[in-house]
Amino acid sequence: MRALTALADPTRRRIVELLAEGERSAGQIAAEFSTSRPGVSRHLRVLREHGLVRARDDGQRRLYSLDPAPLAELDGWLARYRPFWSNRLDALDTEIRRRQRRAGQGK
Amino acid sequence: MSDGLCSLRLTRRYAAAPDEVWGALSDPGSLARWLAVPRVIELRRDGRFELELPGGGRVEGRVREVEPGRVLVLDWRYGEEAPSIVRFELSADGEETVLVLEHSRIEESLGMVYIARWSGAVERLGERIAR
Repeated sequence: MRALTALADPTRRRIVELLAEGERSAGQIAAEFSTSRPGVSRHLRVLREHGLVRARDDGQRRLYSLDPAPLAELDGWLARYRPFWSNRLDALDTEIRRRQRRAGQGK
Repeated sequence: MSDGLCSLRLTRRYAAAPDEVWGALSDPGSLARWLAVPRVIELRRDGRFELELPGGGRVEGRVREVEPGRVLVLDWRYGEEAPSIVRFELSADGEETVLVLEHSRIEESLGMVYIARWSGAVERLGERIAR
């Protein structure tokens, strides 16, 4: 829900898209938009608050990049559920056959 | 949501008619054998269900959509995990039934769906999933 709210805004989606290509400074990001620099900073703040983007200081500049944590979390989720469902659906096949045999005997 | 990347999608083919697959999918006794022991199961829209997984975990949720012999959509809430959606869809194919299971993580990861679509991360993620 958190990430979703942050990404409802098209400018923020575009920023995420830009950062997917690599680290950028606020100035480099702002150069891509007609929005004012403070406007871009505000969007960056929202993205950081939602855990999508992180920042680090590099001398005078502040560099922004995508936070990989949510993706890693998602990856873990998939790694857990894929074998779970795969095994369950095989077990469903066994159960369907069992029911068919039972129905056959009933006739 | 169904881009196959952030939602999990599995397809299986069963040598049975959709009604037979549905029986095995929804009958409490059968459910206990292939999925989990249903402590509660109200197979109607907004009906409650509660499953006890073999490993000891518990899944709770509600029925979002039910169309006997064809579609079952569940709100899936496992432990402390963010709620997600599990959808079973059956379709007849000759003498057989094709089941498509889709487990999508709606809330937190919907944002990730966007990111995955746009970024190079999608390829890395895809490779990991394919393995």
